[in-house]
Amino acid sequence: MAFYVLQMEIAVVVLAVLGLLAGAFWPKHTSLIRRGLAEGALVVLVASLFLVFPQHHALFGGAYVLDRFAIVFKQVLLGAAALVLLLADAHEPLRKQGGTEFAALVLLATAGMMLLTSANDFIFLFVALELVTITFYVLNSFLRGESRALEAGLKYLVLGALSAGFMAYGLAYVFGAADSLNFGDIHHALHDDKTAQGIYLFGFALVLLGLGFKLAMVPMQIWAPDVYQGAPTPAAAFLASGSKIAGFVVLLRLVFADVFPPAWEAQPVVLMALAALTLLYGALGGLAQTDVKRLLGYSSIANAGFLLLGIAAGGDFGHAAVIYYLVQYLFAVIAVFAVLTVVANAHDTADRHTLMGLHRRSPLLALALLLAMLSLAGVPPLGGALGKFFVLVATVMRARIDPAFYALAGVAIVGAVIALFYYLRVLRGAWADPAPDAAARITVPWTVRVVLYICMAGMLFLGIWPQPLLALATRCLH
Amino acid sequence: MTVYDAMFWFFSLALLLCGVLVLISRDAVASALFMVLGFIFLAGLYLLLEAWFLALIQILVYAGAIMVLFLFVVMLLDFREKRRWWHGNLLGWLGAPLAVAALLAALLPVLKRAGALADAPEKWFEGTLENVMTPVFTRYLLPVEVTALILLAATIGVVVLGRKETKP
Repeated sequence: MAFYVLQMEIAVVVLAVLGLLAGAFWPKHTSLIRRGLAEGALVVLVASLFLVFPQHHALFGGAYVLDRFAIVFKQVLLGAAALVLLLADAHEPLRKQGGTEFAALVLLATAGMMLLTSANDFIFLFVALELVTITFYVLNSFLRGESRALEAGLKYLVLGALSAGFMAYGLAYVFGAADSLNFGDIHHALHDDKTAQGIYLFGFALVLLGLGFKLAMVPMQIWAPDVYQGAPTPAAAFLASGSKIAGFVVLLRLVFADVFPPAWEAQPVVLMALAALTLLYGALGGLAQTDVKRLLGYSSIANAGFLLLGIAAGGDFGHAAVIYYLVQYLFAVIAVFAVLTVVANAHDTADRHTLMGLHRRSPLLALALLLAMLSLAGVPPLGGALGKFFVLVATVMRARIDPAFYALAGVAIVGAVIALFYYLRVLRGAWADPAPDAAARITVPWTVRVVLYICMAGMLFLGIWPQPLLALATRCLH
Repeated sequence: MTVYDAMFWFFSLALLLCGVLVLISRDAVASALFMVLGFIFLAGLYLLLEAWFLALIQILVYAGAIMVLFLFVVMLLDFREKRRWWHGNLLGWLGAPLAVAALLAALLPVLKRAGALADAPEKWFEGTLENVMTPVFTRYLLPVEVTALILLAATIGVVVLGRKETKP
């Protein structure tokens, strides 16, 4: 069977609506329904694996494209959503709240992200992006009894609205310069007519700024630590995995469609500067953090820097490296948040004391934390090491033509070494410090076990045998 | 300066003035009313562009429906906090003009060089209902449908965040 247009997205939306209705009709079985939604997402994912990849399709006046790149990332995002839904079912504060709304909203956000992977038109891109953002406004402040969650929700709301404003304002200039919002038309307009390039550059810079909010890119990164810290842990997990992946997929699509301002193509100075600043901000900001969720906010910024570096370096290998990096990052970051979901149950905060002596209280959690932190830090033989390695290789390859990239590679290595320090400090708490006397053994719910096994297997597999994914990533580019 | 130019400048400056007044007026009701006034001036700009339908919708939907709802909520909650007009901190008062200046500094050179674009023969587009709605239901059908999902997500959000606390 071949892929039909919007097939996967419609399946996810139907799942979300069914979940909502089921939750309203059988309020006593919400836990069952929530797990059912996670399994439903997995079923859609597995079913989509059996579909035949189509030829390149462009529909709705070229606004929606269905190619291998889009489909692979639709599947990745669906997988992330399924893992997050399993986590949400094990998260104590969310269980107390009851209902199936959280799961339904996660699925709606997933539908938005899956639409984003196919977006080939700025209007469609903007609407799909807003679907994701508005859903996250609610997810982040879902535990409205906690003042931290409200703070996180409010900060995300204000900055999200600001970035949407930047984007819409920029789109007006893009339209004024190119007389179209379709990527294909814009590409032609830019290369046929040189008079409008100045206006286009201004508009595109604002669009990039609006998109940077999703990526946690300097100068739109301020929200990340606060929101990661305050949001419910599963929501933060989805923010760090799904939302970020979708943002970078959009950025890659902009690169593939060749709608970057022509002035940036010769030497992407702006992207290079943003990559370096984002890397350094994430690495240095994380040093003083004691709260693990907050630390992950800075880690997310540092990783965004690495991904931007891959995109700035460009070339087929650079883009394949970014795709590889995104997939391995998903496993590592969801594993960390899965551990925190169980450990930080009471008030949903995770200062370093909550992890003390974790290896005695739950060896499985401690092992998962070890693998995930080492993967994030870039220690072989885990996926994160190869992700960073591939991006650096792409940077050095580019540096042969453009020596400025040597400096950027240096910045990336310095950033990775600084980050290594704070990842290891978290591990010291979990493995070396004695457990506080009152701390009992932790029982890990089976849903979290499943998530942890999948993530650990993913990190190890990608670290030891990267060829299949790298080959798939290369095929995505053509 | 033609009458057209004069009207453009009048509507634009009045719109900007209303925007500033929304920010600095003493209570929330006055802010909301200045916003209505701003919407009306914006509708005037649309009229100058011959976007008739958009101008009408701007007044009916924004100034009519949405702002009435806005005012209703403001008056119902009654947060008529009396503030001095210089409320806020120094950083805000310095930062906002700096940000505007930075934006203008980036924009002005771009607009200056784009003179050729303004002289190009224009494709005239009259904003009638038919001209506006045909693309909406053909070319831009998918974004419109996705907007329905946004409204669904927002509705769920309002219900979740606004419901009464139930003690387990």
